[in-house]
Amino acid sequence: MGLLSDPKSRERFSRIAAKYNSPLCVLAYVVGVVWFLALAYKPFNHRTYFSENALLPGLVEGKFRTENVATRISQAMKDIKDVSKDGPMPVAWIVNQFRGLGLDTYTQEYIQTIPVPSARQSEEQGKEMFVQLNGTNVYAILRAPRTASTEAIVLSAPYKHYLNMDHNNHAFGLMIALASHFRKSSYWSKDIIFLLVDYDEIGMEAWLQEYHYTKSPLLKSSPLHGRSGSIQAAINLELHSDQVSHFNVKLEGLNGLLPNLDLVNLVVQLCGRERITVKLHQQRDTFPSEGWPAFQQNLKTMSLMMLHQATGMPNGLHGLFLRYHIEAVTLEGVLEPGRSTTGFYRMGRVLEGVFRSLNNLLERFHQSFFFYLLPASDRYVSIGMYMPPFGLILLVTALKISFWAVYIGTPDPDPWDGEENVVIEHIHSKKTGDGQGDNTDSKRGVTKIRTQNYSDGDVWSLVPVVSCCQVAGFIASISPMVMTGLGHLFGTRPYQALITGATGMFFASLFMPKCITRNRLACTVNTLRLWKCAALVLQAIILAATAAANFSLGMLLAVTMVPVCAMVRPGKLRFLQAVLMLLVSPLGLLVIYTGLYLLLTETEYHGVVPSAMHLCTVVYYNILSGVIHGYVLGTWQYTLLALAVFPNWLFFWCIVFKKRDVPVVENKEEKKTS
Amino acid sequence: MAERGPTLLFSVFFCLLCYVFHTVASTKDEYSEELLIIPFRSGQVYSHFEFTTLWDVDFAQGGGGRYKLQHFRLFPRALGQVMTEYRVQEMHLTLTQGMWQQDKWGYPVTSAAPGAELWAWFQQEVDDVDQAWFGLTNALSGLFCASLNFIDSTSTATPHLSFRPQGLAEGLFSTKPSHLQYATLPRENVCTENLTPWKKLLPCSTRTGLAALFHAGQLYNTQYSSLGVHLRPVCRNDSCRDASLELRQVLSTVADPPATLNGKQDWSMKRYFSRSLSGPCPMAVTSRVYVDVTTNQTSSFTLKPEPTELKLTNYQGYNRKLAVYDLWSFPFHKEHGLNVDMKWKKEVSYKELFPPRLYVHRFVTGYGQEHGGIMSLLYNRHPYLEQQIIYMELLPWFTRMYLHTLKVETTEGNLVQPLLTRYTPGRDRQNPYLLEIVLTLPPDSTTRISFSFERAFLKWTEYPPDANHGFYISSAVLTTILRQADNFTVPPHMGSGLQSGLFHSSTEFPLRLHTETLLISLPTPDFSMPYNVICLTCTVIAIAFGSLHNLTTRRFQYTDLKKANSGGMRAWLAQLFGRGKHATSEDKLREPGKESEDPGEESETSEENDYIGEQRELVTPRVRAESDKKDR
Repeated sequence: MGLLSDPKSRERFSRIAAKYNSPLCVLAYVVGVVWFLALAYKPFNHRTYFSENALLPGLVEGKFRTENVATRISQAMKDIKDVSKDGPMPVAWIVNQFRGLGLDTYTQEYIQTIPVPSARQSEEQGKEMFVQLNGTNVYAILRAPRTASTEAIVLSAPYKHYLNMDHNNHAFGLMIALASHFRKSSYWSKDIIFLLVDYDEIGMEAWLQEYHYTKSPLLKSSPLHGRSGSIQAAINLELHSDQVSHFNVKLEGLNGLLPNLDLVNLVVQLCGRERITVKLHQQRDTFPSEGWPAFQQNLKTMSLMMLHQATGMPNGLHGLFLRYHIEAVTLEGVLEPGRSTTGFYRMGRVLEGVFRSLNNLLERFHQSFFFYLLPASDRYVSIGMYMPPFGLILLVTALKISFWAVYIGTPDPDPWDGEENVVIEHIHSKKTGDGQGDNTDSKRGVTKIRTQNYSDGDVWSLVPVVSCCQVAGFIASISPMVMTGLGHLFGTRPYQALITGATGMFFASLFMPKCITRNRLACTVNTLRLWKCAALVLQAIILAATAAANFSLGMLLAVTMVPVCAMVRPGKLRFLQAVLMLLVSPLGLLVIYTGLYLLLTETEYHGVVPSAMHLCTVVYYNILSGVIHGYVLGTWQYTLLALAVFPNWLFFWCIVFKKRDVPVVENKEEKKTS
Repeated sequence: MAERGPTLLFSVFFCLLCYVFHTVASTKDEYSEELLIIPFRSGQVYSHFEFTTLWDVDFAQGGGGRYKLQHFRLFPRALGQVMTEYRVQEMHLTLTQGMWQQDKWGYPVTSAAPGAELWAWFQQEVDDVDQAWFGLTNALSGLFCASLNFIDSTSTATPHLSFRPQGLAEGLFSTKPSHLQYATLPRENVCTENLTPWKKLLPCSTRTGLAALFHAGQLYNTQYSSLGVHLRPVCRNDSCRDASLELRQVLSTVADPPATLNGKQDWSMKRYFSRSLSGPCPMAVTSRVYVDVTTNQTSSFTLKPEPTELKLTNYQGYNRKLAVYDLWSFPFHKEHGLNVDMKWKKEVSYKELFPPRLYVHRFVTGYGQEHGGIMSLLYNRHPYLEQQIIYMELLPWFTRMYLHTLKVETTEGNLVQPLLTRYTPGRDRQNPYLLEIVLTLPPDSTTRISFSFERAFLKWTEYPPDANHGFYISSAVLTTILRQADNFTVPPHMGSGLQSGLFHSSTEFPLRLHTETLLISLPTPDFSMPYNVICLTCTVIAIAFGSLHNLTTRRFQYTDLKKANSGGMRAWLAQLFGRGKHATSEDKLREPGKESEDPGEESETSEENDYIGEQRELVTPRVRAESDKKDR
């Protein structure tokens, strides 16, 4: 090679990278983090705008006037619920409501088993071992006149079963009111599907799976007898009251997917038109929008969004649509005491506007951003803006890789203790000496160092350690399933068994370095350097890939793992290193970020012990839902952590505890070089 | 003699005139207009216009010779000429906006696919069917202002089972299977621009008769509207020795009164056609309006004015009551025109619908932009009768169908063995995929036909301007013969006109159903950023090409050091840009092209081989390696 690039300048670069490695790393990291945080500051991000001109938001006159229907229906539903207490969803009554409007009304029944290790196992061991959910979704299709039912928009609402809580009857009331209003108009060019979902996400997933006929063996459901065409967009509605003070717009979907920014803009803009406050993660946009308090507020909103997105769990039913490339958001109407409120009339007008805009769409949403972060409801940070700081943070890893790649072959007896400087000086002096003499020799010197690289570092020594780590990861990924099976035999409760499975492997593998050191691996300095290098390469790949799929997860992992893992080395300060490593372990990170999330959201502080207890509970439920959602909804966050991040972390953990042998080989090297 | 001359001339002329009139009169033609109004239980009101022109003309005359239609009277000349030109034996064109909802409305009088659908049988003598088809589609495109000219080989197919001739197909009219051409344009939008030329074909246009009701603004403010032109040869009389040419012009609409009228189904001509009838078309032999009042027992409504006649029909136990308004006998002089008006006492009470015995539901399965599938659910709700059907699927080439994934099974999971499967594989950019399956639906069952396809990645010029809208797949067609007609809206007519269908005693009911059209998205490049893409690609190419070009065309050579040192500026530059660390002392890179500018140095180039001395050194490592080789 060397055809398109100059090998000499490359060498020079790597020499610089090696010489000023640590300062460069620190610089890259600090600049990266600061730059990223600065993106939440108004001058560094942009104002949202409409890319899709076909939406024409707010250009039509709102004619919604059936708010009394909403009041009547939501009250009626509440009455039914009060009578039936904790009964099932009043399917027949709901069907009648839809059918009374002359809509094509259908129902769908489903049975979902949670968690399901495997279909075969559940048959053999009986079904009592798992929680089973039966539900019935009701949906009605308003057929657009003069169209062949090729496109559709969905308005969905979950029917909540929780005790002592409203069950979203207000949303249903508003839905019926909108349906009766929409039915009177002949301007619809897309069918509108009104969908009432039983049991939140599971019901939604059941309906979507059946609609697209992508069946999983874990879910049994009755076929849909009526369908519309391809769904273009969806709005999910949750109302906690008939009077709301603001709409909380939820965006984060399955596996960190986000809806097209145009749809978000549309909702935000139309809410603004009807003077309904919009919040993201219950965070109000600040006014004035510049200055230190505004920055703090924006940063908080952005962090909450990232923390949510990183979990990969949808924070509303809309999240499940996103997998099917259907743009969707959840509008959560919240009543905050002491604020001015709006009723069904304005809410209805907002939704009418949204649906008429969506009705105008000629193409699927494709124009605006799919990858973004929102520091405020009208400001965005696009992928082009947040990727450079992330790249800078990854540069730390890259610099370390280049550093170790260049100096793996150096025959320094104790570089870990003697610091890199020794090595650099050594080489540097050699270099300069050569430079004065004849050129060929210096070249040979360099090539010699190069050729030593792989003869010294034992590449094959990587195989056992990497495979051990990977096996540990694999076990961790399947252990919740296995443990629930085993737990059933010993009479443990499934959730406890599941948690044991998920975390057990983590604690067990902390002792892995013990097992590794016992074997007879030749472990020269260079081998250790090679290990470090390989671990860093793996880490860089994992983080980059993760960030491409779910940026927030990648970013949160990178911010914490990169500096610690870059510093890790066998030998000195083992205890401190171990503590740091434990902090950035998958479990440690979960605790840290859950704590951060609670810190940002919880308003009251109850003291150290209750807070810690609360934190533990939340972490417990996070793990639980992470694993269960993996089965039921197909989130891959737990799998990613178990199969990629955890083995990589374990690799570093082994490096910390690796004792350096004093092999004979090294002495030979010494002789050779001298 | 001088006086008799003109008289003789006149009498000869008179005789000739008589003969001409005789021949014209011998090709008798007849026109009838009918309107059928059915209020559906689901709240909608269906109005179906049918205009039939029957022309006793020997248009298949001549065994091998060209047939000719001439001397048009009631038959539209514009259409007749097209028929003659392309030797069309049978032609069916429908232009439809909206989808017929089988589960709510039962069966239509004439089923039509959403968008445009055209199928034609050409006469046996036609040699080049493709050419004739091309001509026909283009002619019809002009005639009906529809984009039928976009029909090409990629959307045309020749089904063998589903579309048999509907008229005469024996004797002179026997034809070859390859002479059928079928195509659909599912994306076609139908509106007034198609209605206007269509109604011009009528003898009375829209000045009087039933066609006077065509008010475009009202016709296209409905749930469903469909235009149709059907042309076929039929028997002239019972002996069927001669043939006649039948032209059926059909217009159907479905209005939805409860949506706008506080939940009531009230319907009147004035409201839904914005005028009332003033009289029959003078050319029409029959001119009638039928109103189906069968449901009047269950949901009572009043019908005004009084019908001229009430008729009861019975097909196999299914009673139907029809109110008939004969426009020829209706007292238009007493009333101010005929405004059929139905008024209900109560609001529509929507109940669970009773879909017909046989219906289809089709949809796309899967997600993503690589693969997909299509599934059809065929419902046979008859409690004990099996039903044999022909299912036809026509897929465009860009949905590459995988035949091995074809699966026919009931929802209970029992495999249904097709009796016959005909499959014509498609070819990219040439012809579509055609699948025809004959199968027997078990009684009281739902049968699933499913297969998967691959979404093709189109060339970037093949995408339409709204690439992200998606691509349409035309509706599948289900053809069958029902044994029981209790769920027929109007049984198909063996004879001509609605009357023969409404009052007949057949035991077989040929039925054709069209399923939903589908919208699929293909992998679509990001057309919104063409500029960025072009820039990026060009930059990459420029960088790669530039450096390669530079390396391959540059010639390295030795130069005289002393002279080179005196080169001044160039040497200094070489040193500055660090062409190796030895630039300080001696060497220097030269390019032949640049040297040619300088005549003083040109001589050195020619001498390069003689001057390999100690004073000369090379810079570039690659060249050094080469010289090493030479040395060896």
